[in-house]
Amino acid sequence: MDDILQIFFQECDEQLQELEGGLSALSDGVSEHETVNAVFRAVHSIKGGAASFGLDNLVRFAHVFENALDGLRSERFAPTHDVVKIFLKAMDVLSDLVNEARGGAAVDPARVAESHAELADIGATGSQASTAPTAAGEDAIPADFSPVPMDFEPVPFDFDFGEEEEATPVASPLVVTFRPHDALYQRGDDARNILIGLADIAHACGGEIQTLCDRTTLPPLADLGVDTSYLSWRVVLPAEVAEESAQAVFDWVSDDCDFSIAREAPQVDPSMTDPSVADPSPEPDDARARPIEAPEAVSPVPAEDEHAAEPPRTTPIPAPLDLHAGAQSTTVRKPEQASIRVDLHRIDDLMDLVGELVIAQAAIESLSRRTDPAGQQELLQSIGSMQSLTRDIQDAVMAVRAQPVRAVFQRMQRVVREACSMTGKEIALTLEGEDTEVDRTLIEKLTDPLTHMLRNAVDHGIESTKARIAAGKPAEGRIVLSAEHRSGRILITIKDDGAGINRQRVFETAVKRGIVPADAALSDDEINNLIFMPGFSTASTVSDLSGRGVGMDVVRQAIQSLGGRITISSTPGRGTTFGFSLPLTLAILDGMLIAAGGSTMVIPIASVIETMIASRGDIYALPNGRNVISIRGDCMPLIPLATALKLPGAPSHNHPAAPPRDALDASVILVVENESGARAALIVDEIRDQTQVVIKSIESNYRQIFGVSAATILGDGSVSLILDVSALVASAIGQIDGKPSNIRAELAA
Amino acid sequence: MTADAETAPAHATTPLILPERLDSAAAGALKSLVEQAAATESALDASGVAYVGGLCLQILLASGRPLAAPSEKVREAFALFGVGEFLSEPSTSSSEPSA
Repeated sequence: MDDILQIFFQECDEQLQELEGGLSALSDGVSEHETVNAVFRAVHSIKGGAASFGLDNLVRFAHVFENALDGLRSERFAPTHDVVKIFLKAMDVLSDLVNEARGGAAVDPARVAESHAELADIGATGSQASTAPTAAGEDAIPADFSPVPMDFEPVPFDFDFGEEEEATPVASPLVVTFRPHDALYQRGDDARNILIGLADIAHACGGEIQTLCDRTTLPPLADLGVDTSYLSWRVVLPAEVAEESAQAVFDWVSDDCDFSIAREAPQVDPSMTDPSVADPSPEPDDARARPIEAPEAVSPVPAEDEHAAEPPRTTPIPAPLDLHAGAQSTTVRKPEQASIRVDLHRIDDLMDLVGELVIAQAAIESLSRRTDPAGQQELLQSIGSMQSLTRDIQDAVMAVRAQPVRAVFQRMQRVVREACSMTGKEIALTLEGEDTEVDRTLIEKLTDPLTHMLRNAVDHGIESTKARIAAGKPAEGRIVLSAEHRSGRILITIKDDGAGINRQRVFETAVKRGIVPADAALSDDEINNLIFMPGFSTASTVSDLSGRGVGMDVVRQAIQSLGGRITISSTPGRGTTFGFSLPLTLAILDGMLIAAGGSTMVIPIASVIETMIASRGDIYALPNGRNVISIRGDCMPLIPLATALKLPGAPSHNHPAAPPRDALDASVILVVENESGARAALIVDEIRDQTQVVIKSIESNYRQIFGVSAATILGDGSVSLILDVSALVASAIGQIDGKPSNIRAELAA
Repeated sequence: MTADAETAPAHATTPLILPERLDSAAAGALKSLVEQAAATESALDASGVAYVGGLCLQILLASGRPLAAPSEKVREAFALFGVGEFLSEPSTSSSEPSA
């Protein structure tokens, strides 16, 4: 059951994406019929699935949402800005209710009720959303969001609805009869959910249901099978309820339930206002509405027959129905098992490759028995194709894990929406490259940094509306969030058209906070990067959104922990662009195997610019004892790797000063570069190979080590360290120019 | 949570406590409990019940055993199922005396 539930939640995620996309399109003025239909279908699907699992809170809200969308679909009103705003708000609530059902944080009932009331208002009046709730709206949605009392009582405002709906002043009540099959219960559904669904649609029309339970076929307890369904129901809904709405309640159970929906024979309206109608004694004349047992033969149990045939007590059930019980149970669900949905053809591709692998393995096995030179040659060739196959399989597996960034990008619409409402700014977020695919683990970890960055862009990046108008800009700010593949990495950019970074203020603040000395000569780029320093904040007041000076630092750490880097470019008055460059996967790395100090280590290929043999003439000694090397006119620090890592076998382990230039002649040099373009030359013992390595976290298995980002296990079973080039370069630069290395390291990173 | 856990001592005067969730999964245990209540002529204490589903409703209706101190949730569920009168004036089958 939990598995099916997880599938439902995955589908919810997809439907919510669909909903977000559709509503965004509506918000942009695209009001094609198909867009509206897609939005409607998304909510309808969530409702249907939720009903199957007894997620009452979700069903109730989705239902009223669906009703309101139906008004849009049937063109009772237009998708005006206000209407779309209400739908967007409702979508956020719906999304939170899905999360709640999943075991996440409970949604504030007041928020649900507010959105519920707005939707009911739209749905009921079928007109432009009015800010002042109607009397009917208020009555229909009680503050505690409790559903309809089941006992029928004449409610005066029934007549209000009669006036609003132009349709049928003398329409007959809708009679729904249903008998669940055993299968309905077996698949985890319940008759209760159908009744709740019917109560909801009655409620949405401002009315209530009258329910009659038919116990005719209920055997005595001793003969009763616990998994067998015996009861059936007859439910009378207000005349205002459309047959399609009632039909929709059975959309997900039609295979497991006999049911009929029909208008009651035209009886005069007093019957609707007469409490005696609530009498379970049904009208026998609506035979077409009751293909199943006639409810009037109500009770097989003699003692109950009389009670059932009696009118119900005029005293209604004392408390309103609380249908939240199902939702309460969802809060203790076990944590979600992560899973992904994959296109079948990707699995097929993988399967094909595995087939080839099996063939290649058999070939190698057979060739390995041959001892002649030709056989050996073929064996080597087979091993070569096996390597190629392994690589293809790896790519195929990565393709299986790859997901478009759309899921996380669309979530950002909400982030910006909420940030805008808190700051009172008008900002449009444009998404580009949502189909760009990236490893699933990265997608999950992108949400927090992006949220932070976008909030920051709204709070600090984009100016107030007044300031924008004064600067001759459009009143509505614009943020573009885009993703693209570039050089085997994914590049995500957040570009705003705000005021840009005020570098002077940033620098002054950094000095005030003691982050940099007042006489530090920093480039524009370095000043920009100061905003990522711990404790830095230029906000004069701490706002709800940002201003605590921890956000950007956390963002940088998060991105770095993903093997990524952040770049900033900013033009005063024109805006700021942040770029995240991330690896496509966190699992595998292309690396260069090198030896230093007797150890084999891995350097990420992406960091290596070139390799060369050092020439004595290019090496210069600095007064502080360090060396630099000039490569085609560019000077960069020369770092003996073993010394920098303080490896036991390093020649100058006890002497921090660099080795003499002569000793470095003909050394093997790797020129490496960090994210900000700073370069250093690493001296290694030898370059052994180029290979792909599987990344294993060293921090979670051991502890953080300077200069080392992770570890891996090589083909011979030995553990090898993967070098953190950024840290090494930053440290080297700090030592060379004499600035505090920690600051330079922070800046360089 | 399970009915079995709650069924320990059964005296004619001690109501048997019904589990909190009477959903489809609880139907088997509920039937045993209700049969035990019938055998010992005990009432069924529904004060802690928070959820009643269709299958368990059948069992309760078929038993004819009165529900003692039904919780609000039980009242709401019975009203939803259209059997509210079962609570307000518990019926008894001819073979099962009320408590």
